[in-house]
Amino acid sequence: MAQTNRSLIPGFRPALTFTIVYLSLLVLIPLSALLLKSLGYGPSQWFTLLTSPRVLAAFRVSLSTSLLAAAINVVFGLLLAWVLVRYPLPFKRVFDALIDLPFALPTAVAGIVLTAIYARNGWLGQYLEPLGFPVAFTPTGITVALIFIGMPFVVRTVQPVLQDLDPAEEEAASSLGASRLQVFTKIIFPNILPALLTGFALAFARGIGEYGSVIFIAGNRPLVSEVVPLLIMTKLEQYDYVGATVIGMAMLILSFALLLIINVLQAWTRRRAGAL
Amino acid sequence: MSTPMLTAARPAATARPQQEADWVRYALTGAALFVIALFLILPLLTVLVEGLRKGWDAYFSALVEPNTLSAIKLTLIVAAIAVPLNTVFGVAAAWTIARFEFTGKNILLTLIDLPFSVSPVIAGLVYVLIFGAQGWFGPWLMEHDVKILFAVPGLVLATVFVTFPFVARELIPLMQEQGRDEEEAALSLGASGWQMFFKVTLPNIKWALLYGVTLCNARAMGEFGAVSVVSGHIRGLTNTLPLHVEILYNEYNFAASFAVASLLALLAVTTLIFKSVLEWKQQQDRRVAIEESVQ
Amino acid sequence: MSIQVENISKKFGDFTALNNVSLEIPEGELVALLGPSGCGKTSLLRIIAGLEQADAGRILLNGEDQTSSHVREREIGFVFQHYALFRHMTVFDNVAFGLRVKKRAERPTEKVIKEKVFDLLKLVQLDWLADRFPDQLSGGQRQRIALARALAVEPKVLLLDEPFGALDANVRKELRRWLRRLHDELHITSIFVTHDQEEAMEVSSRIVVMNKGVIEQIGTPEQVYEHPQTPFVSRFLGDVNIFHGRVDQGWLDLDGWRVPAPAEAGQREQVAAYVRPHDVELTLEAEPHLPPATVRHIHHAGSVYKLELDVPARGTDETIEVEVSRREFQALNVSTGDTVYIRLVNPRIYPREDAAAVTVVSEIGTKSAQFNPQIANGEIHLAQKT
Repeated sequence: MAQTNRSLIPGFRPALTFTIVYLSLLVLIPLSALLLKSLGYGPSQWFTLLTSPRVLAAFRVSLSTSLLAAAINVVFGLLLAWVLVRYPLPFKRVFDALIDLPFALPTAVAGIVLTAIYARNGWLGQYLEPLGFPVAFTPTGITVALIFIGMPFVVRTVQPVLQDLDPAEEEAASSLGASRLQVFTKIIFPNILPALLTGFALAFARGIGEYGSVIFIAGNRPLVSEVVPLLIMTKLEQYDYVGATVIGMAMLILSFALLLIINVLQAWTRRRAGAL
Repeated sequence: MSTPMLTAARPAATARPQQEADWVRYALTGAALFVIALFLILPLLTVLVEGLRKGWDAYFSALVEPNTLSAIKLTLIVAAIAVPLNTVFGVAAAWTIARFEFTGKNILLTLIDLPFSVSPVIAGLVYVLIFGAQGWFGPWLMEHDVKILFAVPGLVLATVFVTFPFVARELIPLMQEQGRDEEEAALSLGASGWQMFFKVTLPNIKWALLYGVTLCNARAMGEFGAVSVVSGHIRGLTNTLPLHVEILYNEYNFAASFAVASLLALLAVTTLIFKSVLEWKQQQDRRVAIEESVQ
Repeated sequence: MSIQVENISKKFGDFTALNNVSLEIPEGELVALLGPSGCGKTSLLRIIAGLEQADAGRILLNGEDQTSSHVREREIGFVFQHYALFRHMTVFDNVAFGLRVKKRAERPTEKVIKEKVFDLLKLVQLDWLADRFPDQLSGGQRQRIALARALAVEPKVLLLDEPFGALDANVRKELRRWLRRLHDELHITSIFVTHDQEEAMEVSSRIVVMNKGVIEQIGTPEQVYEHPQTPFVSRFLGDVNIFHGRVDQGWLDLDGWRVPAPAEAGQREQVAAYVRPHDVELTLEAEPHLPPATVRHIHHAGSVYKLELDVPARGTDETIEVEVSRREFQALNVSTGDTVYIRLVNPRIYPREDAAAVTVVSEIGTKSAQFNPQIANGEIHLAQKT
C-alpha cells in the first residue's frame, strides 16, 4: 500500500506496517487457517455436514431468533432513541448511560441473569409459564437474550441522526400543512431509515454469532433450541474438527456478507447525513 | 401591562408546533421507561439479589474462595497484556486511517470492524486450528513443550482478537473530524514528530483514548465465547472470571455464581459511569468555553 | 528572504492543481495569490511552505534549493485558514510552542520565552488574553494569535492561507489594515492567499492572479486592474461589459458603431471588447457614432449610481451596466425610460476564443456574477457578421 498523496505528517510507514502486521498475525492468518482447513474437505463432505438435520436446525434457530430479535430491536431502539432525544425525562443521563449496559456487561453474566429472570421459578418466568408462555429453554428465550444484546446497536446508530435532524425541515413541513404523523412518516422516517437499517444489520450480525448470553437461557436442546455457535463448540468438544471447521466457515461467509451489507448501509447513512 | 396578557392568551399549540399530542408523548415515554426497566434495570437488580440470596457471609466467602481469586488474577493478567497491545494498535491504526490517504484504506477499515460481526466462538476456533493438536503448529509445539492452547497465551490471543477494534473505533472518527491542521502547525513551528504527537495529538485525543481503553478493558475482562473455546476450563489455571461464573452455575452453585457475576456487573457499571463522566466533562469544557467567549 | 518558484506542477488524482507554475518574489514584498477556489493558490502556498510536495519543479528560498527539505527547516511561518490553534493550550502556550520545541541547545530559557511571548502578544495587541484558551477567543483574536504564534520562531517568510476568510466584514477590514501596517513594520517577505480581489488590492504590493492551475498575470494592484492581460483577469478584478465585433485600423467596429481601439489591438476579426462599468460615458446629446440607449433601471449604490441600459441593436434588446459618480449623475439628471448616448473608454480587446473560455468560470468571479444575464447565449451581440 502506498500513500496516494505524500503528506509531511510523519509516521505513515511505521504505523501502517505495525497495523498490517498486527492484523495479519491476529486476524488474517488465523482466518485463512480456517479457510484453508475447510477447503481441505470435499464438496460432498461439506454437503453432508451442512445438510444434517441438526446443523440445519441450528441455522434455522440462529437465523430466525436473530431476525426476530433485530426486528424487535428496531422498534425498541427507535422508541428509546426518540424519547431520549426529544422528550424531557428525569434522570435522562442515567438512562442514557444504561443503554450501553449490554455492551459493557459480560455476556456470561447476561446469560445467567436472564435465565434467573425467565426460568420456570424465576422472577418473571413464574408468572409467564402458567399463562402458557414459557420463555427460558425455548427459542423465545434465545430471542429475549438477543434483544438484550442487540438493543444498543439500534439506539446508538439512530440517536445521533435524530439529534442532527434539522428542525427547520419539520417546521417547513408543518407550515405546508402536514400533520404530526405526516411529518414523521414523510420527513423524519426517511431521514433515519438508513440508520435504522444499519442498526438492524448490526444487531442481526451480532445475534447470529452470540454465544455467552444465549447458551444459559436456550436450554440447548438439539433440533429445538441449539444455536450455531454452540454447535461449533459441541463439535470441538467431541474432537470433530471437520464439523467445527465447516460450520465455522459457513458462519464466517455469512458474517462477511453481513459486513458488506453493513458497510453499504453505513455509506448510505453518511451520504444521507451529508446531503442534509 | 399588556405583555403578560398576550403571552397568557397565546394558545399552547402554536407556541410549540413541533410537539406531539400530550397523550402520545406520555405513552411513548412510558413505553420507553418500561423497556429500560425490563431489559436493563431488572437484570442489574437480579445480579445483586441473586448474589445475596444466601446472605452476606456466603457472598463474601464465594469471592475469597481460592479458585475465584485465581480467576480474578488470571483475568487481570490477560487484560494487562491484551489492553496495552490493543491500545498501541488502536492509536497506530487510527493514525494511518485518519491522517493519510492511501489505497486499500477501506479494506483496512473493514478488517478493523471484523470482530464486531464474527462470532467469538469462531475467534476461538481459528486459534484451535492453528495451535491445537490437529492444527498447523500443534505437533511442533507439543514437541517443544510450548503451551499456547489451554494456557495463558491462548487466552490472550483470543481476547486480543475480540477486543482490538475498540480503541481504533473511538479514535478514528474523532481524529478525522479534528483534521491535521494542528499537527501541520506544530511541524511548521519546528516540532519533531514525537513532539508533535505528545504535545498536540495526544492531548487532543486523550478523552476518546481513555474511553476506548476503558471499553476495551471491560470487554477483555468479560469475554466469554472466544476464551471458552481456547481455555480448556482448567480450574485454578485457565479459568477467567466469566468462565468461573459458568462453572459455578453449571454446578448449581447459583449464589456463588451470581456473587462472582456481581463483580463483573460492577465492572460494567463502573465502565458506564466512567463513560458518562468523560462525556459530561467534555460537554462541560465546551459549555464553559462557549459561555466565556460570549461575554 | 526571496522566494523562487520554478516550474511547479501538482496533481491530485486526475485534477491538475498547478501546471508548470513559475514565480519570483523579492525579499520584503507582501504578495497576494488571488484566484477563484480550485485555482491552485492554496496548493502553491502549501508547496512553498513544505506542507505539500510538488510532483515536479523546484522551490528556492534565498537562492537555495529547498524543494525536498522539511517544513521544519524552511524557516517559514504559516498561518492556517482556520488558525489551527492548539485547542488544549492557553494563548500563551500556543505562542510559546515553537520556542519550547527547539532542541535543548537552542531553546531559550523560560524567562526569555516569557518576555518574547509577551512582546509578540503586545505586538498583536492581545497580551491581556494570555491565559485564555482558543475556544474563548473571537475569530479576529484567534487570527492575531495564530499570527503571533507563527512570528515567534522568527520566520524569514510569512505565509498566510485565506487569513481573513472566516471573519466578519468589519473585523476583516480592520485586520487588513493592521496586517499591512505590521508588514511595513517588520518587512518580512509575506505571501497570502485570497479569493477576494478587494482584499488583494488593498493589502498587497503585488498580486499574482491565478486560474485553473496557471498564473494569469503578476503585477501591482494598479497594473492588474488597469491593464489586465487576459479576459480572466479583466473579469475577476471587477465587473465588465462584453461587446463582440472586430478591429480594423485602430478602430473597434461593433455593428457599425466605431470606438477608438488601442494600437496594440492590431487587425482582427472576431474580438471581444471588455469595458468596465465606469468606463462607459453617458451624454444626453446625440453625437455621430454614439449609439442611443434607454435607461431601464437606476440603482443607488452609495458613492456611485449604477444604471442598467438597454442598447437596442439588430432587433434585440441587450443590457449593459454603467457606473457614474454622484456628481455626474446629478449633472445628467436622467430617470428611467430616458434616452442617453454611450461612449466606450479604454476597452480591453481579446480574441474571441479566449473570451469564450472565460464564461466557464464566470460564476466564480465575485462581482461579475451580479451582472451576466447574457452569458448563457453568448454575451452581447452588437456585432454584425460581415
